[in-house]
Amino acid sequence: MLLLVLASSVLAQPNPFRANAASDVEAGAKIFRANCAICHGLDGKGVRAPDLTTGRYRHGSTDEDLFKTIANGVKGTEMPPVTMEGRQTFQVIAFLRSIATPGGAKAAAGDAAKGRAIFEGKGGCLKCHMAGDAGSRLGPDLSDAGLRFSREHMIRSLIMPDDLVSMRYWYAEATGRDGRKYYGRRLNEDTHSVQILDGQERLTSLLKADLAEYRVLKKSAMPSYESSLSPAERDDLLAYLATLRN
Amino acid sequence: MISLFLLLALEAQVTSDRILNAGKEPHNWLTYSGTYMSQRHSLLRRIAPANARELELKWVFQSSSLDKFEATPLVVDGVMYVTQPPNDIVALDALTGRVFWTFEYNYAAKADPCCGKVNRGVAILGDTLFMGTIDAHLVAVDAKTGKLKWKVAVADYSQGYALAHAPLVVKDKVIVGTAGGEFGIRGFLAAYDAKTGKEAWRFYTIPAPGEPGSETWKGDAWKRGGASVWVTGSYDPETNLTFWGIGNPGPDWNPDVREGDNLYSDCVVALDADTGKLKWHFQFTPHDEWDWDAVQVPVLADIRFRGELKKVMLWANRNAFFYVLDRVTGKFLFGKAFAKQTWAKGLDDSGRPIKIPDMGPSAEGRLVYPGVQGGTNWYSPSFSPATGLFYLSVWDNYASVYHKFDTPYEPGKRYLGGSPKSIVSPTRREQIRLWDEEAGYGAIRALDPETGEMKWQFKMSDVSDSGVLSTASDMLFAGNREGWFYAFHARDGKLLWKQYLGGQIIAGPMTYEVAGKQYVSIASGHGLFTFGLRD
Repeated sequence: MLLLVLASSVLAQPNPFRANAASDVEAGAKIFRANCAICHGLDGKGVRAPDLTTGRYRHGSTDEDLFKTIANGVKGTEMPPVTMEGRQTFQVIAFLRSIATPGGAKAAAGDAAKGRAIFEGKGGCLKCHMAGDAGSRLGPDLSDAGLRFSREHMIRSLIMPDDLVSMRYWYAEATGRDGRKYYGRRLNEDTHSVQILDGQERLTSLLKADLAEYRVLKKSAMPSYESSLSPAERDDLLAYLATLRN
Repeated sequence: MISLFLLLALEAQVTSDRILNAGKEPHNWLTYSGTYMSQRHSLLRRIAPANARELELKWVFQSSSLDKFEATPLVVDGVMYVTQPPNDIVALDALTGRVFWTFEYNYAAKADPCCGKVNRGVAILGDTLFMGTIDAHLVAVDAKTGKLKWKVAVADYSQGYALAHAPLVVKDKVIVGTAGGEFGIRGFLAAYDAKTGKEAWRFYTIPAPGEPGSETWKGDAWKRGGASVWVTGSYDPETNLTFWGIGNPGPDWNPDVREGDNLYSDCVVALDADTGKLKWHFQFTPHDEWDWDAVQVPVLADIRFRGELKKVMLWANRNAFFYVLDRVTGKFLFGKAFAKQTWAKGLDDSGRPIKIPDMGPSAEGRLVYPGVQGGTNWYSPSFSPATGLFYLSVWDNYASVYHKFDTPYEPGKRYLGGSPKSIVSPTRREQIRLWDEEAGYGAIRALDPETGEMKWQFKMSDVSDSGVLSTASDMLFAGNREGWFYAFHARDGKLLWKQYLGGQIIAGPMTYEVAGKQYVSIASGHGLFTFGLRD
């Protein structure tokens, strides 16, 4: 049978490995590589999930907060509850402490003001992304991009968006039997229906029986900015994104 | 008036003879899987493919618990008995859903089974109901009043033992087995005197040193080797054998500490129902490295097999192979994979899997099909003598990455030795946007027992933890994790009717009749839903 998490009693204890031997950090690193690296990267700098080396964690930075985040997952995100012994969770936390560089990601080299102009203008980013109160809900909300994503992650996203797109942002494309076209972010799906947020930000539910065609595009709706922005413009954009810390 | 009362009083007594012949009174549902054959097949015919579109909701029982609702109700002469998770018993009017009484069981607060505070139902004998509890007790409750008659400790819950399945009553005994395979228990089955609760026999699912089978364990591993029991067994009165599926060996994913075949983990065992003595066993997954409990319902059938009338047992195992066994001798007759698997080249002539080397869990993780929940799991299958087909919930094209690590044994603590990872959530319904069809899919399938060939399937976007019910009128009922409840034509799988219930279905459907009308009940989410034909 499969187990579900978790022994809440261990939460009451401080991390017994916090000031502990290198062997615990090493054990934590192994567990991290096996369980967490697929999203957070082998070095913890983030792939499609947040950079964990900044020393600041969105869902709380105490040992207890981190324990809860690991054991319970984060609702509404791809972070699942991770099943392991309490001891091993603390070893992962010990590893995370060892790779944290408080002070956060180093400031980007570009000009944030210019980057903002690109974000809101030439880049067309607001068509899909939120930044504070402005923008669209179709793509990932970037209001806290400076906290969530490493510089490396953002560079890769700009150049090779399909490599890093999360399932949460896959698009559904459908044609009704009446010829009507539908396109939007897939929010949910079952055997008989699919729910999307369409291009006009309308919550729309489609019955599969009414569709002539239906497919899920497992790639990013975002274009690559490899040629449409110069390296300097991309640096400006990154500098702006790093300031988004809502 | 007096004679009418007497008649009713007598009818309410569920004798062991009535359970033995439960198939002959299909208006009732007297034992977990319908009859001792465990075919989850009913002879009722009023609901049929021609009128299935007229099915409609008749009533709902809303549980007051948020724990998973995995029970199959019993129905005895118009009264339904169902467990509200984990261990309350509710007696309902099967016609209206109105409650007669509720027995509230106060379980030990520290009882914390591996996979949810669940219960799969009660058994009945005479006017007494029997239920296993999450704190490893067996209770007997008066079916008329809901008052406790007796309560015995089957095992020590603080060591990880629990009782999850509906007991099986055979003659004057109540048989239960112990869950807790993730906690380093030593599993067992035990029979209790239905009147007094006195233990009549006990069969350990792991032999002690010196006993036959003990050579399949090394050192002290047998003391904490798991081999739990958490799904109801079957009974064959002709041989007086009771059959039970046994759970995985522990620690689940670190087999290095338990070299050998690890009997009787992942076996079906055939025990003498009077003494608990082992008559035969068949092991599906020797030295299991993936947590593929053989806790499936043993489906007994008398079928024509290779031209001969045979008394068989049909078994679709969590390890993704389908088996036909001779239930008199335990001999393997036939086996074939029914879902994608990458761990065995096939089965040899004795039914033993030919394992592919190096497919066990590793420190780095190893991708193996099927995933940890298996090609199927404990979800009740169905066999229809009318169609000759075997029906089940399948998880196909589904894998896990199995990791191995060391877990020291500590009493009452999880003893796992590893961890499997899968895109598909093991037990919970999620929005499907967080996974991909490449992660696997669920299907309701019909297999030809003689060939193992798929006759038809109904593919679903998500997986299914639902049991399956068939009827003599060629109806097939099943649900899924998405919350759909379906009626199919049992012969070709044509979808006849569907109803969205909004909650994950993790139980088996059952059917009964009251006052000449047929009903079908299924638990979904935190409610029990009962359907019938439009009036």
